[in-house]
Amino acid sequence: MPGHDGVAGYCYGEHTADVLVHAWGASAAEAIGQVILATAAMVIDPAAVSPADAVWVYQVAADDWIACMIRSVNEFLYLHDSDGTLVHRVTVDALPACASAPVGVTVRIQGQRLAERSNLAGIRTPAKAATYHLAALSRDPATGRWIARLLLDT
Amino acid sequence: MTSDPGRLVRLDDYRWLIPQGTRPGMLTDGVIYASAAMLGAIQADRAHEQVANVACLPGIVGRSMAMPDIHWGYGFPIGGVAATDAADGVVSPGGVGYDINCGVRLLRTNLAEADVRPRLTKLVEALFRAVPAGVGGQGGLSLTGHELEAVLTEGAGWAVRHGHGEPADLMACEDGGKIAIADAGAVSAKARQRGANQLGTLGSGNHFLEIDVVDAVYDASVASGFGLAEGMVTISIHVGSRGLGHQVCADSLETMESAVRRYSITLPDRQLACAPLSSPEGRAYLAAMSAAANYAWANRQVITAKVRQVMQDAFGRSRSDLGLSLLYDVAHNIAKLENHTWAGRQLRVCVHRKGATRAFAPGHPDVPPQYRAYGQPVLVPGDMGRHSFVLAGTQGAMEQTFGSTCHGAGRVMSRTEAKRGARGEDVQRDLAAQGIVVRGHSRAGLAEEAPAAYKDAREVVDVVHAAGISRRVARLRPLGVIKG
Repeated sequence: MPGHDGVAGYCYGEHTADVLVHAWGASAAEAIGQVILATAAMVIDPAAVSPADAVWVYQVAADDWIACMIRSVNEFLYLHDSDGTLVHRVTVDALPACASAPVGVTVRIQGQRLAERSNLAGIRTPAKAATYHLAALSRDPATGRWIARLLLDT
Repeated sequence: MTSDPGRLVRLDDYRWLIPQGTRPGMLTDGVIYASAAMLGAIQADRAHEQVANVACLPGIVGRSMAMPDIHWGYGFPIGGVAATDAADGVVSPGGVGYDINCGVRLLRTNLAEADVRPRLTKLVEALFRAVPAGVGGQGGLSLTGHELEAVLTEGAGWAVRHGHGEPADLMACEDGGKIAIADAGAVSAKARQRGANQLGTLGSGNHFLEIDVVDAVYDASVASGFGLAEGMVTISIHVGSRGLGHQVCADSLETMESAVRRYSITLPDRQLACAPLSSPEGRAYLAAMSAAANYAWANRQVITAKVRQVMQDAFGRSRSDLGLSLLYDVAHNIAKLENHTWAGRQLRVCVHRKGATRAFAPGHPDVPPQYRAYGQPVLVPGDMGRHSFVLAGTQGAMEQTFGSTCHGAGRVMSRTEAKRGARGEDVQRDLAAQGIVVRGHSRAGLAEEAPAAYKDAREVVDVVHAAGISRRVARLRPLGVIKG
């Protein structure tokens, strides 16, 4: 795992048939945002995606942060498959806690649709889904940063 | 785990036991079908721990099993097989996987390699253009809501009735290309949205079309019964339920998480989330999974029609003149309610096969009449550069594995590692040097699917043959490959 110098980010790890994502951020929501970005970056480098063509916003609520992370990623994969969502930027904000949903996030994606790109070169296969295996999302007491880990089924 | 999880107890040269008690909560033993040479990789992968975890599923009947193409999955290992009692056992979406009814079918022809070789490159290019694949998955049939509902209910039969094949195709398909308990109403709007435009597409990853030649016959009698002969050109189609199946699995796992709490089920792995088969959640999953399975059979049927059209155009002959008939179609990610005899009793069980194939014995009533004397055909695809195999189901499979066997080669290398080892164009060039024409939608995808990333299917097949859970019939050598 790379060091965390106060900047949110992500990297990939190895796994036989899947892709392991490591991500970090100042909050659980930011770490989830980086996991979504890492998932999207498997398809295309976010820097190569137009930033302002389309916006997608969705909310995910769950009993715990790991479930919230899994569902947030899977919702992105649904949008990618059904609407051709390509990601330039992801912003994630935490939802207020409530009895029925202790944790939740609002995810905002800026990017463009696959159908609106004139050039499909460099676009790669997306993951099938986020899985619970090795999934983790917790706060590092030493640094205060939130560290996420997720295995994507490919 | 209470004892060394890596210490497997040898039962014989091809079966290795994980004794009940190796980890807390195991309700039965686990058994891995493998050669001694395979064990190192299996233990390094830790897939054997998943076999032990599956042994904790409530209502499991017999052992938790894994075929020799085992590798790490989520919940169940790839290659995992487990049967649960239909009355008081559970069903687990992790025992099927995201690509519901990923499977393979094999078409026969009356062509020889000499007929195909002169036009192989053009044939591969034509198939590449005709069958949508790769990024975006567009180019499939655009289905109305009503049509999609019919596909989910009728499976391959819908495709045949709409001109994408012939009734004989259904007779050569596992379950006739349809699971009757499917309920389109159990499939979410999101899953339907994903499936609306993907019927007749190949997708990506390890999905493919392949032109092969039968280059060895191991059992002449059974091969003849299957309509195979040495030198015959065949065509394989490997694909599943696309985005619709993925969404059904994702939706189901969320439901199962709540079910685990509601029914007070204790699991060693969250990804084994499950519900009693008799519960509303369990029944809903089976109904939705079956609908997704039907979609996959329809998908392979529509692609079959495209392949037949390409072959007709390429050779200027009708498909009947070309002998383009379906040998068989098998599912290798599925859960099915089946009747089995176990420990002297007749039982109805839910058999989970995740990266495993049904392999029913000669005489079984679910084996099509034309093959009943020989056993169910089993199709085992290898990687792009090496052999695939046709096997037959055996009584040994009925007695040991609830009529199950391996499904393919199994990965030994991560996609990242595979891409580090070779570039897509290198893979293409190396295969061309072997006389194999490869066309892919993505160079990175070709590199990820390089032969070196997979076990040799021959080693996998050797194990299942030696263990008696299926019998070698024929070997296929690749000539041309189209990857998604």
